[in-house]
Amino acid sequence: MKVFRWLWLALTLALLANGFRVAMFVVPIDQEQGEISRILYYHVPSWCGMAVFFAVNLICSLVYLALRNKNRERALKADALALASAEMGVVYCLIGMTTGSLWGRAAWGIWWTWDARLTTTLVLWLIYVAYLLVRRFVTGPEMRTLAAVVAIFGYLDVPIVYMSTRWWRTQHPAPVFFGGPNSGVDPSMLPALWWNMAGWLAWGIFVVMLRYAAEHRQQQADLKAAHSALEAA
Amino acid sequence: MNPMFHRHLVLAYAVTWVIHLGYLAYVALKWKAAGKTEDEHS
Repeated sequence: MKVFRWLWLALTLALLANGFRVAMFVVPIDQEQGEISRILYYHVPSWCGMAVFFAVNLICSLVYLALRNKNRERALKADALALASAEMGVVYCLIGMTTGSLWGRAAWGIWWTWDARLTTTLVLWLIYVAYLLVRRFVTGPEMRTLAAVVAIFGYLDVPIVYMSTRWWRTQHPAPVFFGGPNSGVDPSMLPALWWNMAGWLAWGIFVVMLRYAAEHRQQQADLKAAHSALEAA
Repeated sequence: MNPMFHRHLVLAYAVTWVIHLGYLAYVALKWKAAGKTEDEHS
């Protein structure tokens, strides 16, 4: 497992290094926005990473609820993966909002606006922060069940964020991908986007693997501690 | 080209790495904490 992790890290760093090279030195700049358009290559992969890891969190939460009374061991593993993927999703969401804000300042002259896309995204981020706070501060045997339910309700905001630029035309640009005719980026920009997408997704998988291992280790240690306490009593 | 635009590009890339590496450090701390709890009860 350790060798696999190191190999995965090496692959990830190679993807990210090439993604950076292609984004900075290979693809042409956008004629309207100039250099600032290169933020796209870190901005869009962050949103894709967020969508992937929140979906993983949803699936793991459902698995936890389905297995919690049938197969405790597997349910705990699903719960550990749910936590790891939620944290990763929150990190990607934060990066997406920050890079978007920096881009917005340069392109629109403002750091933030209560536009439909930005507002629904902020709400999504707050929902998942609340999910992590529930996990951190609620004590007792039902904490994991409560967190799984919060995760399921939280995920309802993901399709709203995705559709927000289709339903409401406010400040944020129209959808770049799957937005119908006249949408999409120039084909010359796609290599940088794909390399960075692959690199940041691989990075997310690497960190989630580590976080899952740490959480599973903590669960095992807590179980051992509980057994020791029972034996002592 | 407005130099402020370029500064924003550097900032966006730098912030991305800082947040990711900061979270990686947090994960490393969690791993160490789990190991410590494990040692206490082994």
